[in-house]
Parts: sequence; C-alpha cells; structure tokens
Amino acid sequence: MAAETGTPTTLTLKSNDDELFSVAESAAILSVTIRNMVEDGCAGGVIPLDNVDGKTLASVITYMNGISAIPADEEKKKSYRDKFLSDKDFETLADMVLAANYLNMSCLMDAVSAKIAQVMEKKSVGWVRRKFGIENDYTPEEEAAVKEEHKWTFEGVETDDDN
Amino acid sequence: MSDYFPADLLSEILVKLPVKTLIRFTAVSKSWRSIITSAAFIASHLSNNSENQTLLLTRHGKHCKLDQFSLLKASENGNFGINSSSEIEIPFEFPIDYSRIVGSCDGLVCLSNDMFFRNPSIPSIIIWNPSVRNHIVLPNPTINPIESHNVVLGFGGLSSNVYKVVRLVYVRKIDDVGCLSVPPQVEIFSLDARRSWRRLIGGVDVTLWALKSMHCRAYVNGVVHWLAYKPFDENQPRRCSILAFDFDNEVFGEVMPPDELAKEASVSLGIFVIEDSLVIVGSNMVSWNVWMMKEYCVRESWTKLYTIDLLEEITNFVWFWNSGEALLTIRDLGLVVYNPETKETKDPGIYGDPYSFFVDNYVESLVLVRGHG
Repeated sequence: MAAETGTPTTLTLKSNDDELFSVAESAAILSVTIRNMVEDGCAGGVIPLDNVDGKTLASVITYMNGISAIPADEEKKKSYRDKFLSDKDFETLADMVLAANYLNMSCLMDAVSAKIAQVMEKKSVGWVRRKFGIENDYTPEEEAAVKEEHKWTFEGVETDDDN
Repeated sequence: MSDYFPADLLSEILVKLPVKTLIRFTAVSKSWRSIITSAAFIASHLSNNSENQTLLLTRHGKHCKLDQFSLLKASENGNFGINSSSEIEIPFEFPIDYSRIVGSCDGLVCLSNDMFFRNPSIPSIIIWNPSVRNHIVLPNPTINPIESHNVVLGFGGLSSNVYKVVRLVYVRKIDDVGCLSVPPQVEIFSLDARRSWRRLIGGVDVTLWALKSMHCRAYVNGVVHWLAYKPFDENQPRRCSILAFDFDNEVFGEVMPPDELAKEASVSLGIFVIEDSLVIVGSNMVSWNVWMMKEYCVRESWTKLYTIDLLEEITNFVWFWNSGEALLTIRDLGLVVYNPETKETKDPGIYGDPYSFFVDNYVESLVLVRGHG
C-alpha cells in the first residue's frame, strides 16, 4: 500500500452521473466498499460508484481527505466532523447518509445520522412527511386520535420553515 | 430522496432521537408508528441511549409530603457534577403520600406506597415510564397474611425483556415481634401479556431477613440485592449479609459481605453500585468504610475503597459516583457531596427533607409506549 512503498497511490472514482474524481488510496479506503475493491485488485482502472452522484461524492471525498489528515485523535476527528456537517442542509445530509451506507463508512454514517436526528428533533410531523417523502396513510380521524393521545409531544415544536 | 430511504437506515437515524420526538413522529404514518413501537426498535433505542447517564432523584419538600421527581444529567467523566436538572410531572394520583422507588430499570420506574401501611383494597404498586408518560397499576398482590408482616420488594428484568416485581412477605413471629419467620412467602408479577401475580413455590430457600428501606437495595445485571440479616439463633449472633434475587432464573442466593461487616458489631448503612460492582457502606462503630466487590460473588475480592473522615454525624448514604464521591446526608446540614481524596464536602444544591432523598440510575426509553404490543 501507499505508505509502505512511499509512492502515494491515487484512485479514480466515478459517480453515477459520470464525474471522475482522483483521491489518495489512503483516504479512499476509509470506505470499506472501496477497500475491498482495492484488496481484490479491482481498483486498477476507474472505480464506478453507481449509487452516488457527483455532488455527494465530491463532498464525501472532501471528508475522506480531511479526516485522514488528522492523526489518531478522537477529539479532533469529532470536531472536524461537527464542523464538516454544520452547514449542510437536510437534503445534502440525506444524500450523504445514503452514500455513507453504500460506501460502508461507519464513522461518517454515525456522524451524519446523528446530525439528521439533531435537525429533526424539534420538527413537525408535516415537515418529516415532506422531507422524507412519506405519504400520510392515516385517516383524518386516526391522525387526530394519535395526536390527541400524545398531545404533550407536540409542545415546543418549531414552526416549519422548510430549511 | 423519498420512498427509497431503506428501513434500516431510517432506524439508524431514529434511534438517535429523544423519546418525546419519537412519540410525536408516530403520527407521521402507520409505518413510522409500527417501526417506532416495535419491540426491536425499542430495544435498539434503549441500548443506543444507555450511555447517557441520567439520575432520577426523588425527595419531599421540607413541609410537603408529596413526592418530587427530578432528572439530573450527570457529568460524563464520572465525577460529581450536575449539568442540568428537570422536574418530572407525575401523571397519576397515588393514594398515599411517601411513595418510594422499588427500582428503576430500562426507563421503567417501579413505585410502591406500602412503606408504612397498606390497605389491601387499594393498589399499592405501579410501574411507570416518565419519558413516555405511561404507567400501569399492578393488580393487588395475593399474599396478604392477617398476621403482622413485613414486605420487601424488588424490581428488574434482563435478557428475557420481561420486567418483574418480586415481593417477599415475612410474617412476624407471634411470640417475638422482633423476629420474622423465614423463609418468606414469595410472589412475582411479570409485565407480560398476563400481567398477574404468581406464587414462587420452589426454590425459596431464604434464611435471611431482607431490609426494606430504600438504600438497602442495589440492582446490577439483572439481580437485585438487599442488605439482610441472618436471624439470630442460640449459638450465633445476628450478622449482616446480602440477599440476591436473579430475575431471569427466579432464584435467590446469598452474597457474602466483607468479613469485617459480617461480624456481630457492625452496622451497614447502604448498598450501591459503582460501574457494575456492588458497593457496601458499613461501620465498625469507629468509622464508616466503603467497600467494593471487585469480582462479582467472589468474597475475597471485597476491597476497602476508603474510610470516611468526617466529624459530623452521617445519617444516610444516598448515592455514589463512579469517582467514588459519595452523596450523603449529615445531621443538621442536609445533603452533601463527600470527596474521599480531599476529605471535603460540598453543597450539591439539592434541598428537601433529609430523610427523603433517593437517587437511582435512569435512562430514557420507549418501553411501555402506548400502542406497543
């Protein structure tokens, strides 16, 4: 591997909308999916990542480079992750969690899902339905009954601004 | 993104949400409701949450007999520290004041009000989840001897995910009111579909008197421990011991206390848990010593952690932090935190009737959420 030979190996990743990205192998193998390909010797040419679009992949690569530049210090890695995710909107976070899942990157997966949970915490039921594309299958009576039963959980909910 | 968001990914996000938000989101759709209220999700939410150490504090005000429940967010480094405190609303009216905590396990709190007196026609035990604001009132127990008797309760549950209340009834001997008959009669309530009491017939080989007061009980890894006494007989003086009940296997056992405390002239004032190890506080009439059983059920592993060096009279031990710091009450002074390293006390800023303080571990959970099962 790169560190052993002294020559940094670069991999080429291809998004599902055909964008190409160069990334140091040492950073890319944070993804277990990519590491397995490298270990199986299938990483010689271009690595196609069929489930990730270019915009998301660019973001994931920024993360890969950023986090792998930090030495083994959990505190610093955590604050890098916090900062990296701080300005991301819900849609970006959702795309990233799907990408982290596909790429099998558990540290990114945990951080992004925690961030999404943080964003959701005070949101309304309507906001969740819109953002997650969920169809309300309750009848109006059923929905009213569920809401009435758990009335106290609707206190302190943010007004929807769709951000 | 929409429908293609896989269910396992969704669960991964949802387990990180607080209980209040999750209950609100049962209104999103029927499928969200069934995810959130499924036994598997409740279990994974609980295990995801169990690192957030929260303490449940109960007390009465100085002039008010009503119980007050508060949640204290403890500091994460194991030292004494309270980051935030919030009061919990009690959603039910309990017939008698001075209820006490029987135990707290996986977010469920078992309360009983039979400390002083019990009217057999009034329900006396409830299991309550303050986070989901739901509780159930247990049916009346079945063992109610007409003779004077002593009741000792325990609450817990482990791998079977069935929470249980165990109830030990010791009848007083007619010829000697200071003496209780052993073995006690035992019945168990299980929070399963039947939700009823049943007698534990076999395996009740208990020759110890368990103590019923609040700080004489410690719960660790599915086993409740009570400080207990070996009843005197002609040849042997009364000595201190520990009675244990394993909720999964429904068997009793004895855990031997440190040799020094098993002697006649010792007094034990409390049993606690520090990082899954049993801790006992006892006096040799000269000083108070804090002992830890480093290896569970290995008598030789009892280690004296420290001797409390205080001039004031200690009236009660309430809690121990992982750092070894003790929360205790001092006559005329109230609740203090004792630091064994500096040998100093400080005021934790918690006030109330000094005999009413009780602290237990607490974790937010969805167990007993309405609409589940």
